[in-house]
Amino acid sequence: MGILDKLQNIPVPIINLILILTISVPLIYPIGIPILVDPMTRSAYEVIDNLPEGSVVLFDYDTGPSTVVEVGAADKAMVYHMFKKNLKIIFVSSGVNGPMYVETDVPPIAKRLGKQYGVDYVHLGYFAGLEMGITAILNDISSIYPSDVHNTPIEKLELMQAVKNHEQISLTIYSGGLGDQLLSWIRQANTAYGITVVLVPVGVMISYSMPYYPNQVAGIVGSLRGGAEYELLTNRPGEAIAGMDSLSLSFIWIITLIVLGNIGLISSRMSRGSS
Amino acid sequence: MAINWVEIVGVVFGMAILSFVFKPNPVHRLVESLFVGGTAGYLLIKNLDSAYKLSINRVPNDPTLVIPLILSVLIFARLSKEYSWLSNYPIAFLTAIGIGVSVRTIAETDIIKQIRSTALPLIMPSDVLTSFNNIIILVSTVTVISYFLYARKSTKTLRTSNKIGISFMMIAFGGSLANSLLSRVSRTIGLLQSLIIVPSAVYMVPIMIIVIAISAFPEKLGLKKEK
Repeated sequence: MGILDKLQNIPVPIINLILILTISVPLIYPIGIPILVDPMTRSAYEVIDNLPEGSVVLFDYDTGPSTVVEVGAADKAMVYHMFKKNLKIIFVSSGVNGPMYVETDVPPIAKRLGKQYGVDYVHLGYFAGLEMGITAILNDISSIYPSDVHNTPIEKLELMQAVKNHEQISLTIYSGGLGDQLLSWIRQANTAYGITVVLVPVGVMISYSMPYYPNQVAGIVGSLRGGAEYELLTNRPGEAIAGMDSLSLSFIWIITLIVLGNIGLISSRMSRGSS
Repeated sequence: MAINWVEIVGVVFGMAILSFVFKPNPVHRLVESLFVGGTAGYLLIKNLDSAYKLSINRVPNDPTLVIPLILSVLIFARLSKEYSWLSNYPIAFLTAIGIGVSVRTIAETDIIKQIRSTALPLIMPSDVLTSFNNIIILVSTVTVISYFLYARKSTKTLRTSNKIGISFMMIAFGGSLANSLLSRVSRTIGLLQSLIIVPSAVYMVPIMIIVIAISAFPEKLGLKKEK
């Protein structure tokens, strides 16, 4: 077997082992590869940055165990940014795992910035029904949420006394990996009521979201890379920036594999053709 | 140093899943099954809780909520061969509402606004790059639509247009694949971050060695019959 054939038949365990090394070594010894901010991430940042103080944001925190490593960093960076801008946030979750992550991620940030539950933010928990659930929330929040996640009736929460339906909501954010849900927010919040929508999709969903940018989706903070860019914009380096060296190096390895595989394929075809 | 059991469980499960990199093994399958079972149970409980809060709990104040409750119970008729036809009613109801809710906006979201997004100024002397991008958007949209509408027509112009359309689709598929890779690699980074960057990494090394040993040599440990 010649070198060209070997290039097309690199054993999978070796490919995986080198991939794990390209990911894990930069986590221990960071390199500091520069990060450029994508216009879609900058646009999401500017939308939030330009909202007047006291504006209400409806945040669908559909983060789960399989998506948290991709969108978790962006979620936290955005929550930090919104609290810094004195925006009011209503957390809901179209996925059952979301409430668990809201309870883990949000209170520490709120506590650090002196934000009060019920006044500056509320957590309403999980809602079923996907697109129908979104429609119901935008029409009348109390129809879906008679109480918050801690079983406090929503009429007793100061923030919810002022927010009844879509008319009081300035921005909706969807964070997660469900394509149907992402589209549902565009359809029901933006098309039906003209509410600005920002998306925090997982990597697979970025190309799915892009046709809607910038006319229907004001900004896209995509996957871990988007999270790192957002952390950079908020000047708050975190886990996403820490992972960017690994991401860059692993992609260099994947690109190398694609190039090597193609060189091997083309060369072996040429040598077969000449013989 | 206090032992953090959550981290230990995380490391054991993380390493077990990563052990698939070497070869499929019983430890990997065990953890995978535990995850699937645990998630299914969690989903069931959370949805029952949601149903309780939204419907069962509110029936005394609003008796009409009995109707959706009955419909939701009928969905479980699928579990019986004899009465599975009953589950068609709630499904039909849900489908009808779903279509009704989405149809009112789908045309505007996916057709009218998408056409508007494609109809962009082509010549912008002050911004050559945007002009180029807008031309690409227009050409790719037209050629891809032409490919799907006129794939069987054999005039020379349409054949050329179809080929260009296919090329644009291939580029789009490549972009999607790259984003999928971004997704997968990001998840691996998150997992390795949780394994490597933890305050109590001291007791994780022996766990990693044990899990790797079990997954690499299951036959010798009696977890799998030798062939």
